[in-house]
Amino acid sequence: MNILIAPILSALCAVSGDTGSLVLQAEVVHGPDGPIEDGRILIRDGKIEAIGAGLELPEDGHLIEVEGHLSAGLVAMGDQTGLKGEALDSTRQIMDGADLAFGYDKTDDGWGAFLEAGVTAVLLTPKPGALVGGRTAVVKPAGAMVQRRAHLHVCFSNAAFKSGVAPTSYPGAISMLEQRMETPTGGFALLGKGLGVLLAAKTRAEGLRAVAFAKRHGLTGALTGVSRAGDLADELHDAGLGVILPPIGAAADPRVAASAAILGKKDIPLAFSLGATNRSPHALRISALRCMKAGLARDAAWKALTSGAGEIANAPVGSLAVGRAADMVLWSGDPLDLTSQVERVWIEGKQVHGDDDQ
Amino acid sequence: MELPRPSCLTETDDPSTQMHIDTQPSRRGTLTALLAPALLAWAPTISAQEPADPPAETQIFIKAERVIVQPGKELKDAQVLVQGGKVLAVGTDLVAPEGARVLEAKVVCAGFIDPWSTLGLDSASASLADTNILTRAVDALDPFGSAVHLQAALRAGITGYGVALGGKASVKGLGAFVCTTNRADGGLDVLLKDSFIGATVGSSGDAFDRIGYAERLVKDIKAGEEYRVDQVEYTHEITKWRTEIAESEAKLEKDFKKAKKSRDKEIKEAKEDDKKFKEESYKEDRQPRKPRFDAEKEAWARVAEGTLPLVVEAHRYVELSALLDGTKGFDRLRLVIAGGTEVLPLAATLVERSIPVIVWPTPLGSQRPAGMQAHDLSLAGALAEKDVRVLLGSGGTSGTRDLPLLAAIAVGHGLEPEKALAALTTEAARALDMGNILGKVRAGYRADLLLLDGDPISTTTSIRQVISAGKIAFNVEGGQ
Repeated sequence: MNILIAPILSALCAVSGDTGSLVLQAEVVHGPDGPIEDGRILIRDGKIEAIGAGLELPEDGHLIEVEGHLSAGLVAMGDQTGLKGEALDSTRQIMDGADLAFGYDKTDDGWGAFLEAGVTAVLLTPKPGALVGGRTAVVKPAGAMVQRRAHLHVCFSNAAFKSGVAPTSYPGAISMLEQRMETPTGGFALLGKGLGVLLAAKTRAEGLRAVAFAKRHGLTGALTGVSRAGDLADELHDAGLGVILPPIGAAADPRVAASAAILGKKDIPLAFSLGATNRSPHALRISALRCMKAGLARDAAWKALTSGAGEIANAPVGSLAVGRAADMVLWSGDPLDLTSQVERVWIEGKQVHGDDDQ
Repeated sequence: MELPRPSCLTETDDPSTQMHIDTQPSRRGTLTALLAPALLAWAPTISAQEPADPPAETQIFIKAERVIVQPGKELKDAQVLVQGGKVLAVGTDLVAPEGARVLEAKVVCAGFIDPWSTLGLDSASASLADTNILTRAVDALDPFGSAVHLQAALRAGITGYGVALGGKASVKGLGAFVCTTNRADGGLDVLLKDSFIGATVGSSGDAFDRIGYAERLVKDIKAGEEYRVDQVEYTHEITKWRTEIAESEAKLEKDFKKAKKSRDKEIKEAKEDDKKFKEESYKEDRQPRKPRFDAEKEAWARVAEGTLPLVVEAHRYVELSALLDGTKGFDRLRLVIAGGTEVLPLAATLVERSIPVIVWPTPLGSQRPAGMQAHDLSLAGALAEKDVRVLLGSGGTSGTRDLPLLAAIAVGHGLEPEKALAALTTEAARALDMGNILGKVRAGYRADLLLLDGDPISTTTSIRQVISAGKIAFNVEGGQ
């Protein structure tokens, strides 16, 4: 990347403060309404104030022209970085009042890899080992909390069953959840009032039970963990739920990626999960590419990495819309081309990754 | 039949852009069609004298904005004619033979090759622990159980791959070169049953253990070399022995009458003197002993003499260094490093000995295998920067379909696109002894071709058609 116009980036690093505004001009800006050639984005106080082609430079502003593509940061779902042992409390089966936000460790060394991969928001989820594993949180790799309570995490897979501790069966699990829904308290009472539901399942049958539960109670949120959720496309569409796609590994059944294409054709909101702390955040883009190769439309894949994922995360992330935090990534080229690299990352207008001496 | 080279194909000296003239009768029809402008006046004569044209459905004529003959060598607005499973001609002024199927593409390049895969093996065999040098990957191919993965790899543009058993076994055995397309009977098309020998060094243990693995491998190669020397010496000795025997027999034959006369005289004299006749004996030289046949040493001998490449997965500096040190005396050994996580400091040795490295540029999370703690996506670019021959592979997994994505990642981390394409085509073919038939869009080469709508290494490029052995194996528009 070359910076073509001075004054240079010492100003950029401080743009979230009170030193004025910044206008970034890139070859392509991936705005909320699509790519803008030679687009500009005006940032003030860490937020996006305007976006478009030919924006006027404010009197107090700096214009910086960069080569490459500027986009919103990617949004990773279903990660446990920084949670360590906090990702699963094995002593209780229902923890509707447990906020994963309290387990968030912003000093964890793993966050650097997220910035290197262009990820600026992460949905922290519990490991699926309890019937209700707690409330998810949306955080930023550079240390900010975006959404302390995003979803209630409910596990419909047999991973929630433990010997001698209720529930030990699918009917038992549904029964326990229905009882909670009858007289909702704690996290259950917040469902539909700003708190979404994250339905964890593995098999198609588990997914069907989860979707039916959400539909019965008019819950909004997403299904996560079902490899071939495309088989449930009609049910998901009827229930108005999104899908967090599981990590698609190199040896995964090709039908898993093809499943994403089926969901995309139904306009079901999609996002990509990392699924485990061991997975490189680079896997997000690779999963999206695998789905594209299997037929997922380019726009749908990009949305699943950014704005669509933000919607599923129930948090204002993944878009360069006016008013949003200036969480941005400068790519060396098309962000959906793996030959493109992350050059720089800004979170809330502050550069947190990449060279700043160019 | 001697045919004049058409003027439209003589603009370049590059043999890859020249028409391959095949005088086989079955191809005359094609040549007639191709050379239509030049041979127009002769056509009636030829058609009157020659047999009818071969069935045109076997011919595919591709028109492309760019034909990447090989990395670094391109033709603009060029054509490729495919017939009989091979590329028959590549040029810029070819004319479609009548009846040929015509395809159009923005870009045409050779099919991709994954030199480090377990695709197509049944899952249990892929990670066998008790393999040896005689274990053959072809014996564990399961095209039916792997059908969806093979199809995905084909759609991703991989037309051939090197496959070995054994997971992390010290010696994996004979690797094969396999095509991603099925034969008519459902089996896999195996181009080479014995393409290479696979091995692993340093998958476990401390530094001394890992050095020990390297030394054991070197010892095996040495044993193979000695076995071959013994065989060669035996061949010389037995030849010499047979010659000497023959000479002795000839001499005896020649002297037979005289010797018989002399013997008869001696018998007579002994009888007269009442003495016991003492027969003169001729002592033959002892026949040289044939070395005992040893199948494993025989295979190691093929490694030592360079008949088979040796692909060794090794990651850490200690064992890589031990391996390179231990094998430097084997001048004909064709070593290939797979993995090579910490091989960069040894780049000079790799260049000097022309040892390629198969890099697996896959993103890994924080919990990596012990040997891959230093795994870095920039390895391929850094090695290529130092002029090391770089190949790209799917890491000995069945994820061969990811190869183009991995190549893009490598490019994103510093590998030049041209070298990435070479890694997927020419270099991979060369390393696995297929360089004379695969990896290029060139007359005479097997017609494994990709028809693309953009740059081959870009992940936003779509593959429109995959041609394998001259047949359309995948067509994005459906049909064949």
